[in-house]
Amino acid sequence: MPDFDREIPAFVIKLFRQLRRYGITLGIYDYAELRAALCQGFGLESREALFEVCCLLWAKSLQDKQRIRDVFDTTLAELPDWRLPQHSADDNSEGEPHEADDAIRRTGHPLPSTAKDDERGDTRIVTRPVSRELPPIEFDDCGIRKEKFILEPVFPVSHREILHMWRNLRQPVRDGLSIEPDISATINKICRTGVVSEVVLLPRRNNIVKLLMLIDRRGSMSPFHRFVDDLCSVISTAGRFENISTYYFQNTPVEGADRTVLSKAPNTPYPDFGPLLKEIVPCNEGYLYIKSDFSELIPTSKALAQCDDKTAVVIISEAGAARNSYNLYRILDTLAFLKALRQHTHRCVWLNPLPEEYWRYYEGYDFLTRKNNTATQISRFVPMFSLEKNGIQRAVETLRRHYWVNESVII
Amino acid sequence: MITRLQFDRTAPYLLGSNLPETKEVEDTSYIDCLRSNSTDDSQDEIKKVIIEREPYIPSQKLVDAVNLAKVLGRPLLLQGEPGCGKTRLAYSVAFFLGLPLEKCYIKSTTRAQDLLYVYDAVKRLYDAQLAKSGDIRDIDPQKYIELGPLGRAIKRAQAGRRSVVLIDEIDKADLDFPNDLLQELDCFEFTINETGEHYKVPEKKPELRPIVIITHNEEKALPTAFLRRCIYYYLEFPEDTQTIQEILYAHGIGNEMLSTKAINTLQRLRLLGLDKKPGLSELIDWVGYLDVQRYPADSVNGLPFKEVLIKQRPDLQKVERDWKV
Repeated sequence: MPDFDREIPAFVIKLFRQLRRYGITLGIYDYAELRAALCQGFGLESREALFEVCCLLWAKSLQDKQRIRDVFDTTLAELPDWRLPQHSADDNSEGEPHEADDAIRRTGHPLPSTAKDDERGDTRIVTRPVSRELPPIEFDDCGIRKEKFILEPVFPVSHREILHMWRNLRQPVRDGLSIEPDISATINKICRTGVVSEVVLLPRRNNIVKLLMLIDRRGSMSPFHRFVDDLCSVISTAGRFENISTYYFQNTPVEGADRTVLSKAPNTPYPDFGPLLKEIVPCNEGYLYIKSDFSELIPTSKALAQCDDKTAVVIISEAGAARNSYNLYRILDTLAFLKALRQHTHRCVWLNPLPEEYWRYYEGYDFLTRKNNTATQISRFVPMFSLEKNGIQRAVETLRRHYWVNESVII
Repeated sequence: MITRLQFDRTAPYLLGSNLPETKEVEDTSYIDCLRSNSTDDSQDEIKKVIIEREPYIPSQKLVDAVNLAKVLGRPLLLQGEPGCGKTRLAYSVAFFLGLPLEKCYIKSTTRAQDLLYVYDAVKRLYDAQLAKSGDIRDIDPQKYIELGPLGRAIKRAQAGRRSVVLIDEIDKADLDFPNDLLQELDCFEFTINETGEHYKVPEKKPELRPIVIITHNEEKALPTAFLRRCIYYYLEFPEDTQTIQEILYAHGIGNEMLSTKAINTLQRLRLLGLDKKPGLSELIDWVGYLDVQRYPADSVNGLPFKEVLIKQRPDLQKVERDWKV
């Protein structure tokens, strides 16, 4: 067990608690580590040195380091006056020299001169020339917090959860170099021939699922950019897919679906697309963007041509639910695209960043509460889930074909 | 959970100055002295090898990180751009401390156990077949065990000698690889299942714990349980010209005029927003070649032999478009 009975400097506890609050996962052992490092003479020279030691021990990425920097700036303006407790001199053996001296010997740095010493030394009277500028405004009396705010993104799903869920999406197939021994085939071979010969090898199992992510960008999707980027980066760094491609679009992935079909629609304010579905002509015209800033183009047809039946397609878009309007052309374009997509793969899910009540179509509700917007219509023809933990889980299940959404049938 | 009360108080790793050109350390390729099961190897069994000084100039922060890892007995996890000297640090530490360096170069097929030992079951199976006919008598499982780099380091520590262990590019391995190594890196002990042999770094002797340096290229995320046990350090590309100059000098490039121009060119190149920025190793290669060719320093601006620096076609196109002499 680490020794907890030693004198613990209060500022370290404060720092530790703040870091925990801001999402750095630290336990009591991590705390003991820092204590041990301080006792061994690390991080004592200055506030900056203490910061470096905290980063070495506790930061596990550059983002962590930045977070520790923020917390340092707000909670620990200067290294408090703290000396090693006298009785902590010894760790493994008795009779060693004093630990602080030891630290000096080891690192070549003396212990920090404390803030108090500096103040005592600085007793000169300073005269300042009178300035013509206005005096600086003091905020002390205004009740404004001096500390900076540390703003941390808090997303509905943690990285770990995303990772876990997407790892389930796999279709292992033996592929590539033969490196795994096939025990039963080897035994069979030896039994058959009666001679010990070479071991039969098999290729390893690899995940052959390809992932195609189509992401709606800008407009009503703007509030979700950071979350969607975060989600995509986690999936692409952690998911073990054969291939991941990500493309961006605005509102619909295709444009210019054949609109003559709309003339057959019943003349009502919100025509039902169910009966029209057969008539809609698949459409893969238009462009997708390779970069999220819409800087590079790829024809939608070309992106679709990369898909085969091993490709899982994930569309992330609010599908018009945010504005709660009924846009005939958007529905038509989207359905025409989905039909074109079906010619390549049947594995497709739609993740909607808005909660279900914005777009889910409930049969039997009274007219006023029943949603009927663009997204509601689209959600009838494609498995649509909300972009939160449960929704993502069900989406992955759907892509694995373990979960089937009845109403989402597209012909 | 391991007790972390015991600190290694041996001499620290320092900014190298006045180091000898060569040192004599234990030969890691000669493993006979580690074969026997006894723990008290006599010194004359150990074969020595001469290693040359590693031209390496660490920053003070990096030195502190190495020492912290050494004192606390934790692995040092290094991240940073490719070619900024992550791997070479292990060589430098090993040379400075005069310790043998055990190298584990990770491949996509490496399993965690391979670092400790490999049991050649197939060979034993063959021998067992031959033993029936009487050609081979001894099929003792011990014969078929080959210790891996980390296994050798632990066994060497058990015999009273320390080593530096380099685990290079850990992210190349399978996702579960780091988790499989947790216990071994924490306690430095392992058991060979086939023979029941157990190896362990003596608990009361932190000065024998192998110094583990792990490099990571950020291709895959490492599990948090693994990260928690590491000291994390991000190797930045040195910003000031002076440091880079010193590094070039340490690599035998004495032409100051040329190296200054080359460094300026490289720094400008790194600002172009290339996908793969040229790093230190590229710079050393490039300037080394220019130096050997006696290339005039004034024309370095024109990016001669840029193939050494730029490794991607889009980057090359960008440089050709945007580079101004």
